[in-house]
Amino acid sequence: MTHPEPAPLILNPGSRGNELALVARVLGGDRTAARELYDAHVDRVFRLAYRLCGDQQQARELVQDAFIRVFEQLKHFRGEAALSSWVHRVTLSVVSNARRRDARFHRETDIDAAGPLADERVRDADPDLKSRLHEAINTLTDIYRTTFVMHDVEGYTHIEIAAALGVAVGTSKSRLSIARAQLRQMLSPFMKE
Amino acid sequence: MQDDQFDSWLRNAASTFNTPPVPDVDGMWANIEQHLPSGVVAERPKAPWWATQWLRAAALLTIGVGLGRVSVVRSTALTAHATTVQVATAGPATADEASRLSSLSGPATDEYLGQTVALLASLQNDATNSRNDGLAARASALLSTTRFLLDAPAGDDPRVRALLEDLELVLVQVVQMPATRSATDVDHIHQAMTERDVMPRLRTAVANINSAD
Repeated sequence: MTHPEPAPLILNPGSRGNELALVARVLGGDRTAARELYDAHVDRVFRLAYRLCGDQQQARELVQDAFIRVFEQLKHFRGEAALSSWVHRVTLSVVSNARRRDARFHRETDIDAAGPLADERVRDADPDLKSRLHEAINTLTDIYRTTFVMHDVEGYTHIEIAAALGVAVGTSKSRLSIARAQLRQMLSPFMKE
Repeated sequence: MQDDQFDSWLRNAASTFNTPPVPDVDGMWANIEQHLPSGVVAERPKAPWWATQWLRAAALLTIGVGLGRVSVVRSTALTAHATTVQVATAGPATADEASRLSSLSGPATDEYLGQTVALLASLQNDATNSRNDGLAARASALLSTTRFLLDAPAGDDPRVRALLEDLELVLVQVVQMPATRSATDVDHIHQAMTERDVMPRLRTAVANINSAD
């Protein structure tokens, strides 16, 4: 199965030297630098958080928690990875913890449990395949859902996903394939041959 | 539908999944800013080597003067009250007081405390005078001294340290106050000072040192 790789997004907007200089300024107590760091990443972080939780207030809280943690942990940032990857990693950790904590987010993946999607009555009631897809995405487990949302929805590359999730690039590709296969299986009853 | 067709459709259809609204960037920042760790709000800047050396020398001098005063007091007590020598020299409270005095005495410390009192008092009395351009510079200089004292042996005493840390917090706020400050900016500082009882404690410290002299 091949598919065209989405155009790579610039996850790392600044050079490594500039990033480290910015981090040093933040750690030196420069509040303006802290805001610069926030501004450089907040849009993508918010988009990802919102895509994963689907609730504006919750996304807002997740982003706030993520950046507070980023600033708390910034002294441990050594620059081995891009700052943006590190910020995304922290964000995904916060989102993942929130999902585990919050029953609203807790949806176990089980293709067999996707009964309502395959139910004839539901099919008749809701012919919109796109909305079925959105429901199906929500039934994926975290690891597949996050990889799918990052790659197919937000356009991150596998390299970026791997760096943000702390996994190998091959693992990211494998997870995406599995996520797509699961979605296809869930949607197949509604798709025209 | 073929795999590649499905994947193409999938990406297209998924693009509308949980479409994000425009984030309230400033609103979120306001909340984040309130929780910024102290290291980010105001990490102690590293002083240049020459300043560090000079400050270390000044600290040693200050401590030396302080210890000298204590030893003079102690030797006088030994001479005048020979029968109470053991109590005077062995009591842990005496040692604590000596330590406290040695860390908070000397002309440099007196001057620092006096200037801090004057600056904070002027801030209270002259709340929104934006023409006072030297305020931030004076506060910045005092902030450097405060941080030096926190790093010096003076900062080891819990009471001294608590006072210095509160002064540091207030001085940081003064330094970071915009040049065209509003009454609200000053109110925040007043609030911090009131909550921590800064001025009465500072004046008490000055009075104690003066009476020790």
